[in-house]
Amino acid sequence: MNEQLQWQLFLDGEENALAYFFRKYHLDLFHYGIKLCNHPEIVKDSIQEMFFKLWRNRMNLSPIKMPKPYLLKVLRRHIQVNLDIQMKYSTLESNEYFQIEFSIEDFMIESEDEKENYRIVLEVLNQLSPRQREAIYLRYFNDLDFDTISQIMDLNIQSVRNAIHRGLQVMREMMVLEKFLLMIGMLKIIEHF
Amino acid sequence: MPWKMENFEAIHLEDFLTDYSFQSFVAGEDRESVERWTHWIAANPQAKKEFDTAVKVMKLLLKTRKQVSNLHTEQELKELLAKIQDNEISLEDESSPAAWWWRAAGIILLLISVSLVFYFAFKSKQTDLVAYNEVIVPLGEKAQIVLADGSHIWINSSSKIKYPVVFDKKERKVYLEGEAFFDITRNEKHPFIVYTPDLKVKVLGTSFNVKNYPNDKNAVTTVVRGLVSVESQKNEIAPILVNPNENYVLNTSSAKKDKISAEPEKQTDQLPKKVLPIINKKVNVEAITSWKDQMLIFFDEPLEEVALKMERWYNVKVHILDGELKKERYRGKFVNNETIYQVLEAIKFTTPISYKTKNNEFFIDKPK
Repeated sequence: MNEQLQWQLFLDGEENALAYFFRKYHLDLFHYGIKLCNHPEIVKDSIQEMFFKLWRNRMNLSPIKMPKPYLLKVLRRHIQVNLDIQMKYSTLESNEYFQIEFSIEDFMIESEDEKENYRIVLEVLNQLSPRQREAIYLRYFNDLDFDTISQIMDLNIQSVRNAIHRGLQVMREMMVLEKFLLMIGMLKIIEHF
Repeated sequence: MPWKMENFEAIHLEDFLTDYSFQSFVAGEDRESVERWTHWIAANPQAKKEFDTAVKVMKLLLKTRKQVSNLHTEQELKELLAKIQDNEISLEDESSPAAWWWRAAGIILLLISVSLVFYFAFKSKQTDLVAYNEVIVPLGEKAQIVLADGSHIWINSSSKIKYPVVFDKKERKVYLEGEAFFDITRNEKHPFIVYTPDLKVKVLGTSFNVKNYPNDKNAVTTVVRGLVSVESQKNEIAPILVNPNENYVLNTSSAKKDKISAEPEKQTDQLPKKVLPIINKKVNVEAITSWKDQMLIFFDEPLEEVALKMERWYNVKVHILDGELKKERYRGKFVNNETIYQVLEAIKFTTPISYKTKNNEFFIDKPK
């Protein structure tokens, strides 16, 4: 059964359809949420709250073709609101706010050598601007197109395109600048392919 | 889409990486992309170095994986479905036999409990027929009740509490106006929820104090033990978890003022202003909850608030005539059922005041 149809069943009040989306996207949503704020409790609550509200308001929702990006977008908004509130009470540092950090566990790298080399690439990735990192995350980790990413991040397509393009360009420039360190590391990784 | 040869010098890593067909080529997804890029690189050997790097970086990016520790999908789905069912029960299902049974049980119990005041919740949001007990505590009095589940509630002066004769299948809901101290028996399957005019306070099993009088500036929830989730009734503010020795303070005075001054027509197109609550850490829990043990404690409070407490405690009116005096902070502890005169004399002992009394009204002023 395709996603569009499942979504229609969800709108019609089928609990099975709700369970379908929850099971199918729980990991994707949780991973994205954790990348955004690194507070598992906030992410967990936001996911619950999101599904609860979607279900309660299902009469007012419209049919959609691709539920996953829609869910990512709604979750992003819930997390943002919850973070805003938590930050008022200074339980969160402002530098933890909506900053995607890539970690070695995010990649299928098994050998220790490879991991060591890969850390350098991660460092470069993590030096990009938060917007660039989030766009790259959505583009490559979720295999979403520019149009979809622009909807999730509330930016126009050109800004998303620029963020990713500029981010990768910065990566390349950094790699050239620090060629003694980085290029060696990078080449080592490349040799493994 | 591969670029023309004369542009190749301008082509960098990022250009390859942001190209969809390049991604499909590296992933080997579709034949068309594979053929296109194989041809392209054969025709543009000058770009080979950048191209090879791009292929390798793309391979890395395609090696992403998602893993999260402690992901309990099934458990959380269960939690979600329970929440949803819960919500639907309260929205009423006419045909359900369970709903009928609960209604019948409600009516039977209603007939038995004659000594109490009953309300049919036709008027409230719920259309379910639920029988409630209501306890109204007048000024100068206090009351204690023990619920069927063993939970203990102390109710302060000038307060009103309403609770169903039989608790809902899923949740234990009570409605409070004024101040009460709750010592709730733990039951994870049936959360206990206190609704007040401004707050929604949800717990599993803890003790905490809720204060939400109509003429107070703030609605306050103070936690003694356990964890309490507090939510504002009016704004779309997510629930906040409050820990022991913390309190949640929501300013309710601004919203009330607006309601009186604004014309009804104007109000509808104005979005309600978001009033954000404040969480105070390390509050004096003993002072806040002392009333339930018949102790009147003022803990570094302005005389203005001391006067309000005295009004409720002694069922009198207290007026402070001097503006400066209202802000004067005061500490004191009265544990032996002192009279209001003893309390006023004690205040006089540390702060120079004078007071007059007329028909249960007290007037406090600076000494003449």
